[in-house]
Amino acid sequence: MMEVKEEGPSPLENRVLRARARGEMSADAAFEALFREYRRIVASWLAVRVDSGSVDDLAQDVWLIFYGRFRRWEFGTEMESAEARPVLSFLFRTCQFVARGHQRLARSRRSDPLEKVEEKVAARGPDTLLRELDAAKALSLARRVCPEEELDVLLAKLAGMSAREVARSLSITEAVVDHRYRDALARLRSKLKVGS
Amino acid sequence: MTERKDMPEEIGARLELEWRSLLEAIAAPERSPLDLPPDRRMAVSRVALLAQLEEVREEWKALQSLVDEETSGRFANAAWTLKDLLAHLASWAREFGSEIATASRKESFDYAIPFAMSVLGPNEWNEREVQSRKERTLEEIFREFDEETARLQDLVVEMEEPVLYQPAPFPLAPSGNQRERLPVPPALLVSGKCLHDRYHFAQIRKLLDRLRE
Repeated sequence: MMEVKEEGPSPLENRVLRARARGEMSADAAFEALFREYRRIVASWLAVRVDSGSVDDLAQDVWLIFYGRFRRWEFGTEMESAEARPVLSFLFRTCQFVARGHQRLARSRRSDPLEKVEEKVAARGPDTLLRELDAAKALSLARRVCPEEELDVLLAKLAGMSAREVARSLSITEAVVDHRYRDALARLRSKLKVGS
Repeated sequence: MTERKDMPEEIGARLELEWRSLLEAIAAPERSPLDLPPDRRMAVSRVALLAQLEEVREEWKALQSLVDEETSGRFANAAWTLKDLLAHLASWAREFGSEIATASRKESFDYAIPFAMSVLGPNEWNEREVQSRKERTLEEIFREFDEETARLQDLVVEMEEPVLYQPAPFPLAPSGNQRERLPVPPALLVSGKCLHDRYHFAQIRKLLDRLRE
């Protein structure tokens, strides 16, 4: 399997996609490189949105959806920009949809015994959970107090997506991205002040 | 205690710090889909199906904001205008919704849709459905697709697990003979609907890009 090393200013994704488009990498090798590059980001996006006991299963859903899509990936004009990361944008959107699907299902399964959820949480190990919770106080607050559209922008920006990439992913303008980001920060600032 | 006047930048920095900590601490799954046997690399869990239907509805909404009466009259291919193509998608949304609803009631089908593999689709059925929507407004067509896709989401949530994944003889029949229909699990049919939608969405996006140039 061909290895792609970090070099130069363009992100690894861009180099992987270019190599794939030129036929220098197999679809599987390119997929694996992207999986290694983004698996933590995907899990973290999900961890902020859903209960920690569901993150592994949902992450697998995200990667399976991407796997199916990557077989027919079209290398569009956005690849002309060295900074373009269409895969990261796609994963970001897919995490959103998967989280929504999960929440929809959870709403309809409210009668499920709570123990099932607790069992899943326990299976991940208390240390891991504590580290995650401790590391994400403001993020956890963001999930509670920010409307979904602000949380979307916040999570995308935290993962390093540019305003342009976020705007394209969410079908909104860059000005709206900026507006939502500032609103989210202002909302968090006021809540953190009240809580301190 | 003096009030701390956090600037948005400070909140942003704090979030970034927490985000980096989360990235380091998170127990992200190590196994990629490539570690699974090939037959298990399909995204057909209930959540994955709901996510794909959600994606389709979002893209449909985005297209609705880009298509007006004028653009909808432009030809999308040799036979159909853009409005016809949208009607085609709406007709299949209704058909898939109806088929999945029938399967969820564990009922069988009393009709077949002839599907000749060699011509990439049930042309006769497609044409009849598009023609039956000629008098509808764009808004009605957009609404039909969205309501039917939302109905599919509800069905995916409600369907019993064995029914969702057990192959059933749906109406699509390569020969047109009712007794020669393809058995497909409803979950795969839903996935196939999304694939079909995305295929045409890409065509519509390309057409709209061309019209903007």
